[in-house]
Amino acid sequence: MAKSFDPLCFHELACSLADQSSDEACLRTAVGRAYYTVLLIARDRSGIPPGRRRASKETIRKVKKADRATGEKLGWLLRLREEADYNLTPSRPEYGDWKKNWARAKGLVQDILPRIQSM
Amino acid sequence: MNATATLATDEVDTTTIEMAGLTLRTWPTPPLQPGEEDLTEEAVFEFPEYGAWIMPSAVSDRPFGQVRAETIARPGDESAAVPLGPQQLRRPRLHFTYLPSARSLLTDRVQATWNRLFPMMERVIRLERVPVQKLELFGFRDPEEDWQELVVSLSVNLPESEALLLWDKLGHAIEGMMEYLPSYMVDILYDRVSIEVLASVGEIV
Repeated sequence: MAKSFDPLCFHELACSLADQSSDEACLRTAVGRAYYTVLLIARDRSGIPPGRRRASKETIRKVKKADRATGEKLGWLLRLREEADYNLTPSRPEYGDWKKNWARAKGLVQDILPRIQSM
Repeated sequence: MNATATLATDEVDTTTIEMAGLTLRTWPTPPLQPGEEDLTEEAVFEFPEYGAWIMPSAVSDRPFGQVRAETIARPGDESAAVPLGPQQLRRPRLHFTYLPSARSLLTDRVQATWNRLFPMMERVIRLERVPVQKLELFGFRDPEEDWQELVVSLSVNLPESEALLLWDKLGHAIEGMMEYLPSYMVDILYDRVSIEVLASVGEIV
């Protein structure tokens, strides 16, 4: 049986990318990897299969049911990740500074990761 | 001539008493009894300077019987004088803004849910004395999974760590509130409404 991938490796990659450079591309990528670290762990804990339609939304809903604030924070990470991957100009003024976005995303991951791991 | 007179000491001086051949007899002052006031000490009245007097206006433009509430500056603190109208005696309401992207998501049922959510948020914000920068409602659309939701975004003048704690408190308050909401509102709060708390002071970690 193939060894399963540990999503925490994404978090390590995100941190090293952001540490290496404060280039916007690096920070946007780091935000995406940080989100997937938490999402994949949460989805696995929630028992949601990867191919399910709207798997991210379903995962966030399940996390919200277990702990509302943690689910809300995961939702914020999802919005930031989509900002990182889809929007060339900030859709909201709050998203304009990628150093700040990354710092916030990193703090949020540290905040919710232990909660999701214990679900 | 022997005569006895009872005179107060401030009525005659000792020379006059000697010339009259009188004998001055004094008695010790009895101690004050409970409830009695010592009147032997000279009273001192201190009047404020004329410029500090507050003179009522002779002519008032307000209707008869209407109470006026106002603050009066303490000496040396003139800038603290802020007139208070009756509406300002109550705590100001929390204001929020619907951004254009939110409008299409505000169906009657979502609006009704927001009408229940907002007072709860307002209560937590007041209880925690949160310095609110702004409260906005905007719409978010997920381009990959094709779903939409209304996001209630609260920006606060707090350090990041305190904003995260506030987010937790709001989460607990929503969980508590959901027990008393109709099931359709509970579903809306899970599927179509999100809350975020953004700090505008300091950095995380």
